[in-house]
Amino acid sequence: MAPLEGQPVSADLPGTRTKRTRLYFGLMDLCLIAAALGLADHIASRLLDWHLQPGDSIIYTAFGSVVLFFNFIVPPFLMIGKFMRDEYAEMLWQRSVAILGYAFAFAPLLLLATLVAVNLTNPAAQADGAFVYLFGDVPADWLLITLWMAFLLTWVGIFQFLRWRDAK
Amino acid sequence: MKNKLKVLRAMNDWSQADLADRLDVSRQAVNAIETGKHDPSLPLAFRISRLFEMPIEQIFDDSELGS
Repeated sequence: MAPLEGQPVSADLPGTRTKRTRLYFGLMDLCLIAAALGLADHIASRLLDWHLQPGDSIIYTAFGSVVLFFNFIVPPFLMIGKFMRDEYAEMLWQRSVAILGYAFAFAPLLLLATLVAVNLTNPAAQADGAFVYLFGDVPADWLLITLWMAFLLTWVGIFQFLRWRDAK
Repeated sequence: MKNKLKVLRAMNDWSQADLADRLDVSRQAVNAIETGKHDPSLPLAFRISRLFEMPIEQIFDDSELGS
């Protein structure tokens, strides 16, 4: 069989798709680091009552700005940035989103099961309302930001885990 | 899917990055194809076929997939 004819393959220079996908993976690496740092800072501020505010330290402000940028701006961009993904990155994206979908399909069931268990073991909790009992005095905005950050961290983490596992 | 990509790449003395640049995909994509963790799309399989000037069926072995 003769060699197939058609579109020529690129010969010398890296294609734009290659560069874009390389950038995509690089940004993913930075997002994973920033997401872990951001979540650790967020939890520390809550659990350890550590409230270093922007303005208290220039270094903290600058560092925090970078972390926040990679926590809240870049991940949503990477989520929708199909033009940056080659077919392998696209496959990783599809697998990670599918796993995320399964997780979110079952997470409410797990939460409800926890609430039922709490109510059964401590009937007094019902008077306060299950969610109030479970989350106590957690402010809604804190909860929303935590869930959002956890969502992004979970997606980035799943994507990076699948990539790492394939590379082994 | 089994394939001869690694052998063909070695015959040309190309690194995974070299091959990735020629195919316009990421190095990770080449690695995943070589290790059988990712089956290339039909357009990419054709690009590989053209690059090595070999028919697709001589590069990729689908015998494990059954008929």
